[in-house]
Amino acid sequence: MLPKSFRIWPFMAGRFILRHRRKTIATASFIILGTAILVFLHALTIGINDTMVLNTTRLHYGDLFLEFPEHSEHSESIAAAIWSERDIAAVLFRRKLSGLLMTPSAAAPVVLFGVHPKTESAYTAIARRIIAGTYPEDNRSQILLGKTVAEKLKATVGGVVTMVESSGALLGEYTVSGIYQTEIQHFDTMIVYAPLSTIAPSICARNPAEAAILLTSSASLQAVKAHLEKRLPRGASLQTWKQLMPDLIQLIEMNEVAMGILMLFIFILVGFGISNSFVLTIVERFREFGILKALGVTPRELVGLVFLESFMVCLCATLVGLAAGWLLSQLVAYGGIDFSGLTSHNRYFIVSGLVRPRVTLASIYWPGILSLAASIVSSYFPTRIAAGKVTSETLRFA
Amino acid sequence: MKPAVSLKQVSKVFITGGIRVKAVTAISLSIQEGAFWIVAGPSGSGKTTLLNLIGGLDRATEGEIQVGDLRLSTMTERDLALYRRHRIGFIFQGNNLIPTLTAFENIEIPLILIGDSDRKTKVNDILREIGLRDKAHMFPQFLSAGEQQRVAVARAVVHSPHLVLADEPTANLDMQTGSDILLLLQRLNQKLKRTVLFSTHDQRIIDTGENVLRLRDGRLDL
Repeated sequence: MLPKSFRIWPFMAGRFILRHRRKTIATASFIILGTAILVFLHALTIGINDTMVLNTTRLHYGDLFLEFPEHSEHSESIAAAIWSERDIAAVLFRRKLSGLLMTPSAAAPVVLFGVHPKTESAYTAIARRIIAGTYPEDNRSQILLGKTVAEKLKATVGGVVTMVESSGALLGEYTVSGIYQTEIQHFDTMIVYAPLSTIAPSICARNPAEAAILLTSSASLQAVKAHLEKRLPRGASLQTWKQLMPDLIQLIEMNEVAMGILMLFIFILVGFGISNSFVLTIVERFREFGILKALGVTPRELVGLVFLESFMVCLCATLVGLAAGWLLSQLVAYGGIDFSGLTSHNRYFIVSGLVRPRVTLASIYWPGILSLAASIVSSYFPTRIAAGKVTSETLRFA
Repeated sequence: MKPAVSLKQVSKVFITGGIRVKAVTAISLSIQEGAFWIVAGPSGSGKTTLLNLIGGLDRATEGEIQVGDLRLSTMTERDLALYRRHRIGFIFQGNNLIPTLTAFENIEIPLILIGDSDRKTKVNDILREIGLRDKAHMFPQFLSAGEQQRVAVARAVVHSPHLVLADEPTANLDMQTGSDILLLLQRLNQKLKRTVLFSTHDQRIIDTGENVLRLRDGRLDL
């Protein structure tokens, strides 16, 4: 049971907060601004990471990359079955053939992916990187070349190229339907796409099958992986984009550290602002505290009273700041910020430079905790000074 | 009659800018319960220091202060605060009231601190007594200097303290308002039978007093 006198302190604190309205608003504004900036910056970091992941996974490999065991007969039907599972947005089945692409005047080693053009062009970003022509059409002997391959072969849209498998078998002649450019060297110099329907079943059977699995939400990555692994044939390999692209993980971690440092600086800056505001408010009220002490308020009660005042202001301002930060992030996310102009030739922004800030639990949790902690620490020391001063000295403040 | 306040060889030394200043030197006195004493002396004679020592706002450098059964020198800061809360009523020279609270709320504070559940009635009663019932919800800045001091007097006596310490409460007031405050305190002293120490350097007020304690250069002027 709390002592009777203790129960009136929140009431007293509330009364003082309301009566010192201007100072309360000034202090609260600092906290609201600081918290909102921290939330937005955190959401922006998440948004940048999301864009980088999306750009990478949507280009070719997907969120999960499935490699079927060699000579697997039912790989395409398994891929089709996976598509009907929960949280799966698409399963892009492919055959991978290595070989030589030739024109009468030149030859280039390539990796040809036999794909289903409709789904492939709908779900991956390669189609959006076409700089000339179109994506190959189903059941037609058409091929999509990377820009460097096309340059090596001196091939243009409408030209004809011949594909020879690495075993020496002739795959066939293809008309160049389009040329793409990702500015990722590996793709532009090596990867070509042709309709799977144009590759003979016997050739398909002796070449590896794989599937890029796209999820509806990145949050379910591990759960979907665990679920699918139970259902895959022996020898199949299922890897997440995190396993396939450790360099992206490192980049995300670096991005988070860099943003963390920036947030820390902002936190310190805002902390100083809050502290300054509290010090000014408390020093101005020294005489008021002196009167309270003269009336019999104990030093501990005085610390408690001012602390409670600060806490109530900080808590309300932090909550408003969190809401403001969330709202700002939502507003910016609605239109997105286009980083394309700032990230030329960055492979992680190759498909789209549009960043949409995303608020997560951590975006609310950390800024909330930091802001509250900064505010409370900032208010504690001047209050201690006020409480520790000899009462008669405090009363001399006019 | 038992003394309400007793001082034995009380001295107070302040160190200001590295210089020792003796504000009060070897004061011994005894004040009876329910008495009204005027502490007289020119500025700098030690009146405020003496009242602060008796009120537990400062600690004596030497000597012993006893208020009722309490020896102030042995008490902790917390005990001194509780002593002020329950036994003392303070009135200062000026800027007495908390500017962010109304007249009513200022008077209410001592009752809140002692956990008095009947505080609304008591505050209203005393506001009526000092003639400020209609200004109960006004902030100090909208009250005249005299009205502010009347509120301060009400706040000092509302929780029925044993001892009221009024440190030059009339210093910033005109003669008439000062007299009104003095009369108000004398009336409350007679009605409530509380001990009052009233400091002033105003000779006209000093002349009205029966019990006068004169100070000069920090010593009792006998």
